[in-house]
Amino acid sequence: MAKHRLINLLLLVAILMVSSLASASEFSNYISLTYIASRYDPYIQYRVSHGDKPDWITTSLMIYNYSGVLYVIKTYNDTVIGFNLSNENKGYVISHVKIELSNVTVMTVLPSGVRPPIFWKETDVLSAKTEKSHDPDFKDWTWYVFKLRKVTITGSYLIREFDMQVVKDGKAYGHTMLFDNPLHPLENGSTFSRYPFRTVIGRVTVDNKNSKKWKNITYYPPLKTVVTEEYSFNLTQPFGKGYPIEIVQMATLIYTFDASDGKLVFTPNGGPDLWAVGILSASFSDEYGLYQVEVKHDDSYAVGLVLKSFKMGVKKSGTVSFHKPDVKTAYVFYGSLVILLTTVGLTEVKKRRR
Amino acid sequence: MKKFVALLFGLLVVVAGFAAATTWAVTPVRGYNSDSYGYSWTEIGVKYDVQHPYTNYYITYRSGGGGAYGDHKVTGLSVIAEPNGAETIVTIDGYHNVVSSAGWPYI
Repeated sequence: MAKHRLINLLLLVAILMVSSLASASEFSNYISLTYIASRYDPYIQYRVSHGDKPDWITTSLMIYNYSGVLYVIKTYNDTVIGFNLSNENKGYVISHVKIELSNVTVMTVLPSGVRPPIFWKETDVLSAKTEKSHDPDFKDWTWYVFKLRKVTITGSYLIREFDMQVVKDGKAYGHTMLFDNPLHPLENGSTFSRYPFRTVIGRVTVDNKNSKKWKNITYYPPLKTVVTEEYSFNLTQPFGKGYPIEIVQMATLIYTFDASDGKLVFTPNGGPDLWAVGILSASFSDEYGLYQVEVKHDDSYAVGLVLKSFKMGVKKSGTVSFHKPDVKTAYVFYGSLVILLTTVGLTEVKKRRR
Repeated sequence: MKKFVALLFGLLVVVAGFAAATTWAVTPVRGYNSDSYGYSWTEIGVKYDVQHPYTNYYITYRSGGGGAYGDHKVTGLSVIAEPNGAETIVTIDGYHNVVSSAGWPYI
């Protein structure tokens, strides 16, 4: 009888552990999410053979506001973006963003007397070129073109937990693009972003059947895709008359979430989470996925900026554990399995003895 | 002596006249690209010195556009300024980019 009680207790513990693990799969239990837009040479060769200039084929194209100066950033090797989430008191999560780019061209145009502020390491500069502006209205301006081995951009912002708003310096930029809260999901007509660009969700679709993949990773259904209504904006270098750097005649924001727990799986664009760290415009192209879709005609691949890895666990307060592998949950899972098997084994042995 | 000074002065006037009388010409430069998803075009306006077209010139405007074929849909369209021209990125179905560019000197 006492042994039965022990077995029941062990089973209960095992069930509790497994169930606590299952419920851990929501926003508050993610400690990091890493996304990639990878370079894939066969795709570049395919595009070039169809007449594209190699210069056009990027894994990301971004406009970055650094110290009040706008830069055009084109990345030709991998683009990797990591979001590291840790607890901040009073209902906020702090998100540390790390954008790692390799084989990069950085451009800007500035009036005389303004030097381009540097956000890269001098040792990573492959070439630096200046050219006087040929715009009649900006005769005393100069273009700067830097070719860089690699660039790392970092920044941080807050996510307000009760309404999932991206907050930076007291300003709400809009709904985070990293999570769609299953309890308060994004719906048709709901406001998505607020600042600097206002957008509204225009379409929501849920795919309950098909999974998507990327290399050896499978993203299982249900997958939920939200698309905003169209919006437009101009990005101008904020000196004098303002030099138009990018004219966006039309843009939409598209995100595909894992509908079971709400995390972002892939997207071709940026959003409030990147606007808050200065990336005001972004376009991502995972060339591996594009090759499968466009050349192999296999639609089951994720494209854009694709979820490469994530870590779950208990968020630490204010600290960052980017390189620390999260093995605790795995121990709990396998530990409970071992306990379950042992108890089953013990009962079997007991039965046989009888 | 007087004649020589007058000759020099005359020469100076002629040289200065040649230097000042830059002949300007205006031309649009267009770039176009298309694939099975759609198309993209870029156009810039160039005002150049006929005698030094590749060193003395101005880019007077930058514009671009594009579209999608069949069931495909344009989800993004932007024109980015470059030192000597512009680049137009037409995004189709969210993920596919059709890019075109135009620049001066025309290559």
